[in-house]
Formats: sequence, C-alpha cells, structure tokens
Amino acid sequence: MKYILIADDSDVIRSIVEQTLRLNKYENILKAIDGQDALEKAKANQGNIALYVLDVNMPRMDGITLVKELRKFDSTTPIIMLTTETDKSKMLVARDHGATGWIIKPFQGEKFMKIVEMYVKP
Amino acid sequence: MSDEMKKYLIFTIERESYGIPISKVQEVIRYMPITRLHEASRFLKGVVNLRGKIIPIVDMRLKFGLPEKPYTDRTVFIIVEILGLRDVNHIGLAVDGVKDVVDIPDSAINRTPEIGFRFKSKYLYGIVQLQESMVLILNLDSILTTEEVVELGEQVKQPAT
Amino acid sequence: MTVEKKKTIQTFVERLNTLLQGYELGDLVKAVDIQDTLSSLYKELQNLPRMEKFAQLAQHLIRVADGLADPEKEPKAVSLLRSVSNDLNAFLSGTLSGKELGARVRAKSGLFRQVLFGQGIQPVPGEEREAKKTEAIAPRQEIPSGGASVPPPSLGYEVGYFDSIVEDEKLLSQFFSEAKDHLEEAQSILVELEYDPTNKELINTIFRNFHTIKGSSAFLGLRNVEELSHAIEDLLALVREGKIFLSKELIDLVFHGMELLRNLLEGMHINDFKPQEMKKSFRIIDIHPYINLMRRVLDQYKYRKIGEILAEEGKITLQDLQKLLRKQTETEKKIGELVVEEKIATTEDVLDALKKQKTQVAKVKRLGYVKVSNEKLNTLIDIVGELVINQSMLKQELLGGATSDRAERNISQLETITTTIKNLVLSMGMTPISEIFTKLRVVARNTAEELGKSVYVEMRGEDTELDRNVIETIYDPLIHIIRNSIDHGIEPAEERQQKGKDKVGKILLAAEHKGSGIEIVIEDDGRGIEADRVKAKAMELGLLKKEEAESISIKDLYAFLFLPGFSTSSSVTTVSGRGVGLDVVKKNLDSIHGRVEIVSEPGKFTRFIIRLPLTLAIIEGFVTRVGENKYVFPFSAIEEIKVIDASEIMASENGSEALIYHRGAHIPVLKAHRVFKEEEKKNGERILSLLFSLDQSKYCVVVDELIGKQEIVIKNLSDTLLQECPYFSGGTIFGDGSIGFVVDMQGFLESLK
Repeated sequence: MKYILIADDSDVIRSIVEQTLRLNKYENILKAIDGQDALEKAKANQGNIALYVLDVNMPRMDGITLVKELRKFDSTTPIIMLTTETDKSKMLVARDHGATGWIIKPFQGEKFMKIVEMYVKP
Repeated sequence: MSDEMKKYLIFTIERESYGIPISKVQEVIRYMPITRLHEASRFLKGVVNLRGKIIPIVDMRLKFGLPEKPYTDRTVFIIVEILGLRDVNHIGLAVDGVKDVVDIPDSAINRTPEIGFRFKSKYLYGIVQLQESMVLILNLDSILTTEEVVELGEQVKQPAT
Repeated sequence: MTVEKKKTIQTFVERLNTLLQGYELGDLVKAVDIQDTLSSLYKELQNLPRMEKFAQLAQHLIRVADGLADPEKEPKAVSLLRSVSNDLNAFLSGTLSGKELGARVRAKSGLFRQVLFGQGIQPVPGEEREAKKTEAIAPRQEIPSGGASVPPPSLGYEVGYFDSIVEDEKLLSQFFSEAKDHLEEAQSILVELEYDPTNKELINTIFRNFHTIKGSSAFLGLRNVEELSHAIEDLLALVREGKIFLSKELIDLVFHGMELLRNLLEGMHINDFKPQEMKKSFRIIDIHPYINLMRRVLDQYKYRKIGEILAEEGKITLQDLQKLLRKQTETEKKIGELVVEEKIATTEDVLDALKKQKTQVAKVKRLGYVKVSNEKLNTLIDIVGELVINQSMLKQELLGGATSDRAERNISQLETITTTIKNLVLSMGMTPISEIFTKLRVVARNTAEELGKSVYVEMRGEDTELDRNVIETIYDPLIHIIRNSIDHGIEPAEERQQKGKDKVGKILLAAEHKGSGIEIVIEDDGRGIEADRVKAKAMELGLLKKEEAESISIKDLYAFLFLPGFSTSSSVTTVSGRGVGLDVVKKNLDSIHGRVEIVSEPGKFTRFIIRLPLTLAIIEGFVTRVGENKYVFPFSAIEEIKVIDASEIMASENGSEALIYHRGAHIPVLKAHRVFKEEEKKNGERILSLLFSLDQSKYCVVVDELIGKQEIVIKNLSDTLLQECPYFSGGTIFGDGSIGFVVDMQGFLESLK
C-alpha cells in the first residue's frame, strides 16, 4: 500500500487532513512539518508515495520550491496544493513546476475526499 | 598643550572685570523694563520680553553677594545660553557695563585655584592678567545653575598674586 | 418532458456553465463540482424518453470531466466541456435544434477521443473507477473564502456566526497552543521590524504566522479568529509585495490586531475549549471595529488595475473586461496588451490609464510622511506662538491710532493667516492616542497574566489626537490606573462566574474630544469601589471626621483615593505593591493641567475619567492681577468666582488663617500675594477671589483684579526661574507685550505650607 504524504506546518491542518483520510479508510499516511521535512520523507520513501498534499506557505522550504524539488525525482505522483485565496495567484507557478492541482483552504472534508479519490483508492 | 585663542566678553561689576567665553553669549542688550519677580533669593530680578521670549534676568551683583544698585541706562543685559535640565535656557545677566571683546590664549589663563578665594573654584575657570587689570574668567554654567548666592567677598579685591 | 424536469435540467446546465466559465486550471474543488453536476445531470436524463442521446452525451462528459484531475488532459478537457456546455445551453434555450447539437458534438469527436483515451494519471491502486456514483447533490454550500465576497456583519455578530465551531476540545486546544506560538513569534518579529521594516525574511515569516492562524481557524469554524487574522494577513500581503511600507502606524495596527487575537484565544482557554462556553466570551469581544479600521487603511493603499481604470472611464465595457480577464488567465499577457490586441481601446487610452495608475501608485506610496525632528517642531511651535503674539501686538498698535480701511483689512487678513498657521502647526504636534493605547493593552495583558486573571481590553476613539507632550505625560498615569483596575477591580474568574459575570473581565479604554479638551476613560467591569471602605480608611488616617462621614459626597470621598499613602486594598500584591499610588497619577496630570475623576458602582464597575487640555502650548487661563504683575490661573481648576464680603471672613485665633463659610463648608482664604510676594493692599469691603477645587479640598485665592478668561500661549520659563518659583508652570506674553506668569496650583499650595 502506498503512502499519502501531508506537508503542512500547522498541526491543526495536519490533524484534520489525517483524520479525514483515516475516516475514509486511508491508513498509510506520512506527515511532514515543513518543506524540508517533506522533501526528506519523500526521498526516503521514493516510489512508495501515491499522493502528495502540500501546503504552499511553509517554513524552511515553501510549497512551490518543494514541488520543484519533488519533480526532480518523481515526475508522476499527483501533487495537491493546499492554498488560500491570498496565495491563489501562486498556483499558476506551482502548476508550471508540476503541481497537479490545488484546493483552497478551508475546504469541506467531503470535497477533499472526492478529490483524493480521483488519485488514490484506499 | 594646545594654545587656542578664544574670544571672551569682558564685563564689569563694581570696577572688577570678568570674562565669559563669547560662544556662550547670544547678544548684549540695553537695559529694558523688567517684569519684576519678588522671590526669596533676590538675585533673580524678574523677566523681560525679548522678541517674544521670556528671559529671566539675574542680577550679577546680587548673585555675587554685593550690595544692590539701581539700574541705570548704562546697565546692560548679557543674554547667555546655559545648559538647563531639558534644553538650552536663555538667561540675561544684569551687569554694570560691558568693556571689550578680547582674544585670550588658553595658556594665558592661570587655572590654579588661588588659596584665599572664597570664590569656590568650581565657579571660577581661571584668572588672566590683561595689561594692568586682572580678569576673572567665570564658569557660567555652574554659577547660573546653583541656587545659592556665589559670594565673592573681600578677597576678590585683593587677590593673592 | 415535464416543465419541472426541463427546469431541473436547465438548472444543472446553467450551473455547469457557470462552473466552467470561472474554472481555473488546477482548481480541484471546482473539478469535483463539475463532475458532481454532470453526474446529477446524467441522473436526471437517464430514464427520460427521447433523451437517450442527451443522456449518453452526459455520460461521456462525466468521463471527460475526470480528465480535469490530470494536468495533461485538463486544458483540453476544459475547453471541450466549455464548448459542449455552451451548445447544451443553446439547445435548452431553444436557439439550437437537437439535430444541430448532435452535429456540433460530432464535430468535436477528435477532442473527445484525445481527452478520453490519452495517457495520463490513473487512480492508484486498483482499477479505474466506473462512472461517478450518482448521488444527489447537496445544496451548494458557499466555501467561506474569508475574502471580500463575504461581507462581515457590521454590528456585533450575526445569528449563527459561531455555530460552525467544531465540537472538538482536543483540536481546539491544539489550535490554541499553535496560534499562541505563532503570535509569540509574530510579536518578536514585529519588534524587529520596527527597526528593520524592509527585512524580507522577517516579513515572510510574520506573514506566514497569520496565514497559518487564518487557515487553521477557518477549519475549526472560528470565524472571528479567521476574519481577524485574515485582515492582518491582507495587510502583510501588501507589505510583502512591496506595495506599502511597514510604517510605525501599521506596525501598531498589527500589534492591536494581535492583542485582539490574544483576547480571543484567551476566551477559548478560559472556557476549557468548550464551544458553548467559548461563544459567550467571544460575543463580548467585537472584532469588527478593528476589521473596519483595517479595511479603511487597506483602501488607502489599494490602487486600481489598468482594466478597472479603462472600464471606469468608459473606454471598455465591463463585459469586455471580464472577457479579457478570462483570457488573461490563459496567457502571460498584460491586460493593456490584450486591450490593444483585441482593438477594444486605443494604445493612447491604455498609455493614459497607465499614467493614471502610476500617479496613483506614487500617491499611495508617498501618502507617508515627512520626518521632522522634535527639536525643529518645538522651535516651530515656539516661533508661531511668537508670531501670534506679535501679530496681536501689531493689531493693537495700529488700531489704537488712526488707520486706513486698507490697513485694517490687511491686519485682519494677517490675523486669519496667523490663526491658520497656528492651528496647523499645533496639529503637527498632535499624535493619535492609539500610540499609547496599544502599549497599554500590552500592559493590561501582562498584568492580567501576572495575576492569573483574564482580561479583554476594548478601545474606542484611539484615533483621537492630542499633543505629543501630553501623551508622554499621561502614559505613566494610565499604566498605573490600568494595573490598578486589573489588580483591584477585576475579580478572579471563579468569582466573576459566581456573580454571573463573564469570566473574561473587560477594560474599556476610550478617548474623545470634549469641548476644548479631551476626555480619556478607563473603565473596568470589576468590583467597583465600596464607599464604606474608603470612609473607614479615611477616618483611620484622620482625614475624615466621624460626623462628616455621613454627609460627605461621593466625589469628595473618592478624592481621598488620590492622596499619598491611601490604599483600601487589604492585600499587597506584586502589581500594586510598587510604592506608586494614585497620588502620583494625580500629580502627573496636574502638571499638564489635567483632572481626574472616579465614578463607580460597587459590584459593577469603576470608571476613571481624565480630562486634559488638547495641547500644552495653549491653555484656557484665567488672567488676574496681583500686586504689580499679571498671573494666569488654569481655568480648568476654577470652580467659581467668589466676591467675598470683608465681614464674611473669619480669622483663626492667631489671625494667621482666614476662612469663609460657603455652601456648607469652611474654605480657607489664601492671599496670592503671599505666594508671589507681591505687596498686599488694604482689604476693601469687597474681596475678589477665585474658588478652586483641588484634591478633596476647596480654596479661595484672593487676587487684586480679575481680568478674565483667555487662551494663553504658554512660554517656557527657564529652569533657573522655575527652580526659584516652583509655583509657576510657565509664562505668557499678552497682546500688549507684557508678561504674565502661569500658576501651577500644586506648587502654589505647597509653597503656602
């Protein structure tokens, strides 16, 4: 079973995303607290990740740079960006670097799950 | 030791000559009517309106513990700047008359405090001999910021040379 | 097909259209919405007679929409969906026949194939999904974007505002500590930014602080926290983009917002993260004044886009603009370029608009300030004071003699100009009181923390301006009053709860212009002052006689509180045990001609009311003559003018003290001559006096002549003079050039002791 990697510097958002996934029977979850952490975990689990869920604004390495870095060794795994109304303008850049799509925070769990389902089955 | 020439304003009180650095002097004005104050130490005579500024007038005779003398047309006010608690204050010194502005090299000023002066050394910067007369160079800031009367007394007239 | 059925189908198609028009590449939520809409459409069509083809098309479209999840297929999928949905719309509105629709769809079969069978992402693991489950669509819920599209309620909180708070104490407490950490970091960064306002790294970090708080709070349904952090984030976004400079004022504004956030967090904490309880605390903390203030500030800095300028001037239509904006998302081109390319407006128009935008930007950026040193400003105020005096002297001189009409006209014109300059210059020395209010809020919070209490500070009228020097002088007294209020006034949370008050204590800080002065109010909703305890203490200290205790007025009673060494607090706490009492407050205020008054209701509130002159440079004075000089008394302290009949005066046995009996009180009669050492003239039958009310006492001050109330430009008296005459606070020069002395009442009374 492959992993879903969540990277967000907010404990709350990580918890929420994790809870939502677990409720929907997604058990393999990796969590990262910032961009750097996410990159390290992604590298350590290369080939075993089914989906990335990445915050845009993170310390140490922002989400856009992270996408760039991830795409250097993983060109296929879908990347969902968690963004906000404010940062929406960055999404064009994120897509240029290989992000698959984006979700504006806050979002409803139900919607989020539908999106995840498009890429990963539990 | 540097031997800088400095300009001093020489004024007289009771035939004695005193010098203060010209850099401290803002201007010298003729006697003008004073709004009198009646406070205890007496040397603070009152205030004058100098172009919209209120300037206290300190009578130097009284400040030096000398007998009061009524002001005449010859009386002048030397407006000096002294460092106050918050900012620069202007104070007018009422003196008998202004004599001269002279250049005095620092080396000519005898800085040794003379024994026998009741004039405390902190009020006196030094003494200088100009031709026949002796001039006491004053430390204005300390004279004007003290509340007490700076008594010169008898000895001033017969300084030990 | 029934009418209702057709309507339902039409609704779905319209919805599809709207979703597609606003679709931006990568918008996964919208992608899901589009898929859901298509599923619903398919479900409606499925079993309708003669709609088989339509249903089939919908089924295909569902699969096309799956392509939205794959960046490779997405652009094609979008344009295919857009074009088909337009056709469908036309078909349903009757402008396109079924046949024509079929033809159009067939013409796109190549595109269909590309999207449906191209390479791309497949859901992993497991087989490809079948067509989406056709569940009913829930009524579309607006995703709270927190943006301008959701206008916040202007007054208080709308019904249901707090209903979305999640019932998860663990998550809420997690959020609490996370947000607290972010605020702490933001706080220290903000302090650094005061010295280094353009440091990109700092700005990025602090932006992220609020960004994260906003994001997390939105999830938990903490709408107030979200709105607030969003407002701050918006401001910081502009700073980050270099659109505005992070001035001292803006930093203060952010500080202010952080305080509010802290209050909200505290409201969560104190209620153990129980949403029902939290709501109650939330309700008393109104964030909207701040949000509105922030919005006003941001509006100042916002500038219009080129497209907006062109549309506003009627050079292009709004529809054109929308079309262009849509187009812009697909290209990298600027609106201006597109306008010219599409020949909607001329190059000149665009250049014109660009120029306008530029001046606007320049204006926005320059809106700032010119820095002037305190010294220069003080000198300017001084010189203008002289100008005012000189001009009135000149006027008296000229009007005294025979003057021409022209001279008179000129002089009155000069007077107008002088007055304008005077007001302008005085206003330059004015600062909004928010400068200290913000600091006071920090003091309040720290004090509350020290004492383990919970306090919310509300501010009103923080943009009220007053003299910088006044602000400096009142800072310490205000700190003292606030600490006092939290220490003695605000009860501990349990006690408050028992009394049926909200657990969070409230401190109100308000400033307001009143007459020619300013009124500052500090109010706490705490214990209030118990008159009996003040009486007991006053009697213990021998300030109050038993027989007076019954009849003493509340105002006079409270005045005791301002006496040195007077404290009714039974316990000494770290906060109040610092050796400063309200007497210091009073002394500080006296020095700037301010007055302080207390109003209180036991168990409910204590209110300190401070009245101050607007500026120290000009006061309302009452001019008198004593002996040979003119003396000016501060008008604010004068209760009445009292003409004493010589027979009214009762002398004490040794004749050293004189008293009169006036309105039920014995009032000492003081001769101003004694203080000013002016010559006393013989008492006539009628003695002129001013009745002062100072501290808890009244005094009659005898003068020789009452000249009248006047605006007095205060001039510095040198330290030398003030040292000798501590009963003066300054001097003034009258229109005729004569000098008057401004009396400091505290010093005046002390010199009589």
